[in-house]
Parts: sequence; C-alpha cells; structure tokens
Amino acid sequence: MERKKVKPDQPVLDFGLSFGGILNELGNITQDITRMVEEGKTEMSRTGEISFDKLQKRKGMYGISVRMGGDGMPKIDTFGRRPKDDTREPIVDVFEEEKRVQVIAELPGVDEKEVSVALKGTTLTIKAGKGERKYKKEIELEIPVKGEPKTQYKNGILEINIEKG
Amino acid sequence: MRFGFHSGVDIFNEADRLQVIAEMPGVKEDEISVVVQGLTLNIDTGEGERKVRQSINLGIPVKGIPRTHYRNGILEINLPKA
Repeated sequence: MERKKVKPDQPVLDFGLSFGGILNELGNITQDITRMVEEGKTEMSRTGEISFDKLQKRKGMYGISVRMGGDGMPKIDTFGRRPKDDTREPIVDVFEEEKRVQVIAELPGVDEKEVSVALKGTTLTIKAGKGERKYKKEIELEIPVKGEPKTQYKNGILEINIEKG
Repeated sequence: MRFGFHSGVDIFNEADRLQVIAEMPGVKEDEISVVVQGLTLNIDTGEGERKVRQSINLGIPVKGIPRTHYRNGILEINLPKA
C-alpha cells in the first residue's frame, strides 16, 4: 500500500531572526519551490546558522523544509533551535497508513530514556533530551487514534506508531 | 527525496585539534566513513544506491587518522592539528 503523507504541522516562524532575515529566507524558498517544480523534486530543505552570542558553541541551526504534497501543493515546515528557550524543534514526518498513524521524528544526540511521548486527543507531544540538547514538538495528527503510542528509538530517529481510532 | 544539508555540522577550533560534530540521524554506525583529503573532510554515509557524501572545508591543516565516535545519530570527529 502506498503511504499517504499527512500535513505534519502548521509552519511557525518563531525564530529569533530579524524580520529582514526571514523575508530573505522566504524569498529563497520561493525560488526553491520553483526549482523543485522544474526538476520534479518532492522534498528539500534549507538551513542556515544563527549566532546567539559571540561564543561559537552557541551557534544554532535553523531551517525550513519544503515538501511537495500529493496534491501538488508545497508544504512548508520549520525545524531547528528556538533561541528563546534553547529547545529545538525536530523534523517530523507523519504518515497515515491503513490501520495506524506513523510519526517519524529526527532527534539526534539524545538517549532513549530521555524521550517522552504523550498523546492527548489527537495532539501528540514529543519531548526529548536534557541540558544543551533538548527537543520539543507538538503535532496535531488530525486523525482519530486510540491506545498507547508505541515508540522505538534508534540512531537518533524516533518512530511512533499509533492505532487509528 | 531530500537534498541539501538538513542536518547540522559544527566545527570547533580547539587548541590542539579540530572537532567536527555532525548530526546524521538514521545512519548506522557501520555505514559511516570519514576521510581527510588535504583541507577537505569527506563524510560518506549510506550504502549501495543511497550513498551520501558531505564535504567540509576545514580551513586548517590537520594530520593523522581522524578519531570518530558515533552515538544516537551524532558523529563526533577529532582531527589533530598539523
């Protein structure tokens, strides 16, 4: 069965970037989308670096990913570190399958025991890590689900399977 | 299909070495190979048709064999300065 891709999230541009920086990025994204259509690509991402202070170790990655949905509409999502609380927003993919919803999150650098997944209604919250490397993401699944989410973490990738309600 | 850097690479210039921290979630440890050619660090990941190379310009001469450590999707490379 072909896996159906579900809109993972609403784009939230809450980086501590200057407004001009964000507008620049959006300008680039527009060009990227045009190029994706021309080249027939379905997914891409663009990242950059923000400095929070003069210490090199405090540099953070941020990025915007664009995926072409099956309906031909580009879907824009953000990932990276949010400077205000030092928590990063991981890249998350949501797949709707016949009997379950599968969520794949990229959480490099955390220990398995530092990962927590909570489901409330159709809202899935992923929290992971401690200290300098923390992740948090809330995902609105928009699909009724039931039971406990089953999780598996390996090599920095968290896989969550939830039965459809 | 995904292209471009979607994961982060940081280079830290320490007194006696360069430390490269690369995020590569989903990569298996035995699929990683690290090679230095001149001032370029090549990190190859994946196998078969899914090989990916990330080339990083170090900017500083290094020597010896890179020491690598991989855990939970993070690759740490230590390169002694020449």
